[in-house]
Amino acid sequence: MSSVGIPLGNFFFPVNVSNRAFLPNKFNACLDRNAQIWTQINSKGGLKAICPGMKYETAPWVKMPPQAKRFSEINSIPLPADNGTDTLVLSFLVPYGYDGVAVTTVANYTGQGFVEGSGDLTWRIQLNERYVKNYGNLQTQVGSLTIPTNIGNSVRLLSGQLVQFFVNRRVNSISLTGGRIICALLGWWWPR
Amino acid sequence: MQDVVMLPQVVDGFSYNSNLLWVQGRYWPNAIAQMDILRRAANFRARWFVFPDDIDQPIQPYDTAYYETQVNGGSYLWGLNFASISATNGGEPAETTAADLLIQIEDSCTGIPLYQDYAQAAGNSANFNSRCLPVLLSQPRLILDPGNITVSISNRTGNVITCQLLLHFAEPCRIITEENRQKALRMIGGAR
Repeated sequence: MSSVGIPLGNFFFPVNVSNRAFLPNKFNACLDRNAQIWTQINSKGGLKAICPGMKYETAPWVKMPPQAKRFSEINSIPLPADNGTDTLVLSFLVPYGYDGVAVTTVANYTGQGFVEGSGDLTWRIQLNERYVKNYGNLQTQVGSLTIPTNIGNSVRLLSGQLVQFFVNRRVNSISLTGGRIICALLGWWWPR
Repeated sequence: MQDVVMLPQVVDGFSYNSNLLWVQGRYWPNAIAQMDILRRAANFRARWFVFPDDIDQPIQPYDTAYYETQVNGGSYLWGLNFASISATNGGEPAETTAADLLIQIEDSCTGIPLYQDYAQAAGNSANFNSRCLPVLLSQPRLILDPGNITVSISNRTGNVITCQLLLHFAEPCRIITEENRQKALRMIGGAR
């Protein structure tokens, strides 16, 4: 039998108890009122519109607003031991009250013996405890300090976030000799 | 002095659960109290959504998986469950717990996330003691039209992990009158 119920006058009588309709009560009225308030808030731009803070004409992570400040976080370390653990190369905190975007990234190795994609070296970008999508398991070099690579999907940063750039040297990756690991993130942050 | 209004206990799954001990200072009974209006309102039904749909769809190491679903406008998100099911490392079975993953849930209509940043999934996974099943929100969250929900699950380990997030919604039931039904049938050209 279909679940539409039995016609009764201009109403539909339920086919079983679980289909029974109860009359809306005062608690429904309370929830309806709540929904009306939130619909009104959303129609006026949502909570983001009524919260204090800067409003930008264009998305600040696409076009750098005049109030924004550039950052160039660059660091390098000697080639770490081949112990298979993540070694921190670069770390910084997004300033409180500012959001940001990293539009350029550099992950380089200046020594000898590295074959791209071999897994001997793996770079990871971490935001707080989370690895950035597609940048958590980077097995090739990306860009260089002279020719940095623009990240197609820029990494948005939130106020107070801890940004960390790791490198992991695989166990027994003895083909790597000398050189340094270079990591860099470049972009801008803007007042919230 | 303000009048104290005593209402009879709501008879539903929460009041039937004999495993639950009401302790005044605990989170769970207080969160249930915040759900009181929703529990007493008529014509809401349970609707559950899981992410990912396929429990065998794993999350790759250091990766983030994105999911989206649509719920009926006016639904309330009131609880969640998370379980980390199994993990492999290089094809070999590995240990896993919910702490290996991070989750974020966002009402994409308002763009307001449930958590300020990705939250530890272990905090959203019942330990069958102080954190009961399901994990309740401090207050049910109204989802307005068009009801898009985005879920992100982030793997912060080198293991391939299968897991699942279950979201509990209360969905408003629409009463279908014969008049409305006939109108709908006429619109789709199937009037009898």
